[in-house]
Amino acid sequence: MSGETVSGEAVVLGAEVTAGHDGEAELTLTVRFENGVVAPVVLDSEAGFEALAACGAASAAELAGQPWRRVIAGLAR
Amino acid sequence: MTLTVQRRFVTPEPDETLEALAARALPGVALDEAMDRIRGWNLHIFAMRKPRGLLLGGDVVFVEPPLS
Amino acid sequence: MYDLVIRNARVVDGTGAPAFAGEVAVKDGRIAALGPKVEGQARAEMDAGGKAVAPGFIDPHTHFDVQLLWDGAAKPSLEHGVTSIIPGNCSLSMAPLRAGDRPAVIGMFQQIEELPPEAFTLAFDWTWEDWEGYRRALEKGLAINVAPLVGHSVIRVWVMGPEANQRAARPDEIAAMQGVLRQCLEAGAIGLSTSFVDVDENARPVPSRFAQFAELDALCAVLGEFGRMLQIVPEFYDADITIARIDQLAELSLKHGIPTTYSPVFDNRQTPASVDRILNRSAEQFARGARVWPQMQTRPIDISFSLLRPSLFFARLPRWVRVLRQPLEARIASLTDPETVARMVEDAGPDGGERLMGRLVVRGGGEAPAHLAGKTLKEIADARGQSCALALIEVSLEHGLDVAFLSANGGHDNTDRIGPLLARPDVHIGAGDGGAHLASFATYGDTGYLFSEFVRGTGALTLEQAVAKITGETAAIWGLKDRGLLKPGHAADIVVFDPDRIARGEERPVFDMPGDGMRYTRDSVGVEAVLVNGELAWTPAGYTDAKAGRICEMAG
Ligand SMILES: [Zn+2]
Repeated sequence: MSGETVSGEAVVLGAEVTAGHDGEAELTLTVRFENGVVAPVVLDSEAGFEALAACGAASAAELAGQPWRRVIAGLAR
Repeated sequence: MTLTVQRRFVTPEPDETLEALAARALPGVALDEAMDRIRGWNLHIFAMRKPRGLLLGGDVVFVEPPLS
Repeated sequence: MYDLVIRNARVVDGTGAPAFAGEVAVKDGRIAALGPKVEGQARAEMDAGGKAVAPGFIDPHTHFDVQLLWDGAAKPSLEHGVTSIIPGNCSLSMAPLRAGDRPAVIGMFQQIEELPPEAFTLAFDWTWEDWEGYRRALEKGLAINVAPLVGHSVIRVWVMGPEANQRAARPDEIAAMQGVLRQCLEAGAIGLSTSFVDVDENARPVPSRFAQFAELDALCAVLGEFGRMLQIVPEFYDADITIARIDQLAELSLKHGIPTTYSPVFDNRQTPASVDRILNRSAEQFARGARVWPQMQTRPIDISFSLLRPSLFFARLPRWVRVLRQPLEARIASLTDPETVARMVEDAGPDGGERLMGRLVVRGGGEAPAHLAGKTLKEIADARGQSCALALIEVSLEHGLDVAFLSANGGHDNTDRIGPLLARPDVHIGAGDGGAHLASFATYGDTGYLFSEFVRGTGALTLEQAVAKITGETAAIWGLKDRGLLKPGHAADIVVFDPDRIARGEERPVFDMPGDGMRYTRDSVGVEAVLVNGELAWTPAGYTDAKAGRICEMAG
C-alpha cells in the first residue's frame, strides 16, 4: 500500500475504532482532503464494513493509503 | 464578536436531485466531477443513510472540503 | 405550622452559592422558609444528618414518554434524585397522534427506546389523540414532575399522514403544523423537539428530517410567541455538521427570540479537536445574543456487541473481519471450524487477545448465562483455561451467539478533559437519554456520576456548582417556573444526598418492562430521600405511594 498519493487527491491516512453514542463501535477515518486539510470522517458499522470491502482491506489498518475516491465509489453507489 | 469562517453548505430544495444540487453548488465544474466531490464531502448522506443518497429537506450538504 | 422542616442540613440551594448549615421548611408543596435556623413548628421533621439538601435534579433529555403511562416515577430516575424530567426529545412524543397513525409512531419509539411491543398494547389505555387528552392521561399517576416537549415528527404525521416521511410540506401543511404546535403549547407542551439523525424501525429517516428549513423556521415562529425551547439532535458524530446546525439554531434563536439546545455533545480520543470546535462555535453565537445550549452528558460511552451482528470492535483483526462479515449460518460454521478459530486466536495477538478483549464484560440479559454476567472475559478465560479470544468465541457459540460483551469507557471517558467542559457556563449538562436505548445500556445515574467523578474525583466542579448545573441553571435555561432552587415560594422538590457517597450503581439487567421486557438499569448510591412537591416520594426503603408529580408550568 502506498502511503502517499498524488497531491490534490484526497486519501485515507488511517482508521481507528471509536465508540459511537448509541453504543456501537464505529470507524473513524482520518482523511487528507484535496485541499490538504486532514479531518476525521466517521463511518457507522455497516458503512465501515463496506468501506473495508470496497478497498479490499482485510482490516482497518489496510485502509491507510487508500484513495478517498475508492472508498466513495464503494460506499456511495 | 465576528463569526469565524466555517465550511460552506447548502440545503436541498424539495425533490432536488444530486445532479441538480451539484450543478447549483459547483457551477463550472464538470457534472460528474461535481457529483463525485459532493459525495466525497457528505458521507452522512451518501454512505450512512437508507436509502443511500436520499436527499432530505433538512440536510446539511457541504460544498467544499473541511477547512480544519 | 409547616408541613415539614428538614433540620441538620447542608443546604445547597441550586444557585451555586456556598452551602450552609441550616434548615428548610415546606408548606403546601412549596418551600416556605430556609436559613440557618427556621423558627416555628412543623407537623413533621426530618433530620438530614448533616447531608446535602438540594433542589431535586432536573433531567433535560429523556424518552420516558411511554413508560410514564404505567410508571409515574420514571424509575429509576426518581431514586437518583431527579424530580423533574423533560420527555418528548428527538422529534418524538406520544401526542398529538391519531389512532390510525399509532403504528407508525410506535415503530419510531421502538427503534429509539427499544421498548418491547407489549409496552404499547398491555401497559396503558390509549385514550387520547390530541395534547390535551395526553396531558390528562399523563397527569393521573405522576410521582415525578414532567415538562414534555412535543415532537416535530409526530406533528408532521398528524398533518401529513403517511407522507410525513416522504416529502417536503406544502405551505398549507406548514400552516396547519403551526396551528397544531400552538394548540400543544397552549395545552402544556413546553417546546418543540426535532431530529436530524433518528431513524424508524426500517432505518428510514424520521419525518422531521424531511422538513425544509423554512418549515422549521415557521414552527419556531410559533415557539417565539411563547418564548419556548427548540431541541434538536444534530449529526453529533461530525463536528462540521454540528457547527452548521449551531448556526441554523442561532439564526432561529435570534429571529424568534427562543432558546435552543442541541444534544448530545461528547468527546472522543480519536477526534480530540471536535468538542472544542463545537463549543467555540456555540460561544461565538452566544456572544451575538443567540441562545444555543450544547447538552453534554456526564457518563462515558460504553460499546457493546455480540457475534450475532458484525461489530467494528474487531476491525483491527483481519480474520475476525472476514468471519464476522459472513451471513449467520456461514459465520457459525466458521466459528465451529477448529482451523479457522485457531487462526482467529492467532490474529488476536501473542497474548491470545488478553490486551484487546480481556477487560470485556459479559452482560446479563439475552441468552447470556447468569453465572457469567458481570465477569470479565479474562476471568472467564482463566476459569476455562483458555485464551480470551477462544473464550469469547466459545461462550458465544454455547449460547447461540446471543451473548453481549461490554467494552466500558470507549469514549467520552477522559475525565480530566471532560470536567472543565462540564463546568463551562455555556455548557448545559444533559443528553442522558433516560428511558431510551433500554436493551443496549443504562441511561440512568448520570447525576450521581457527576458528583462521584467530577466533584469528588477530579474536582472540576464544586458541590455547589455541580448542583446548580443540574437544578437552577437547567430550570433557567428551559424557563421552568418555580423549580430548580431552594427558595421560598418554589416547589418543594428536594433531594437529600451524601456528597461523600453519591454515585451511580453498577449496570444490571432487570425484566420490569411490560411483557417481562428487559432493560439495563442502575441503582442510586448515596441518595437518602427525594421529595416531589413537598411529598416524600422515595427513600432507600423504596418508593412511597405519593403521586405528587405535576406537569411543570412555564415562567413568563
Ligand atoms: Zn434522545
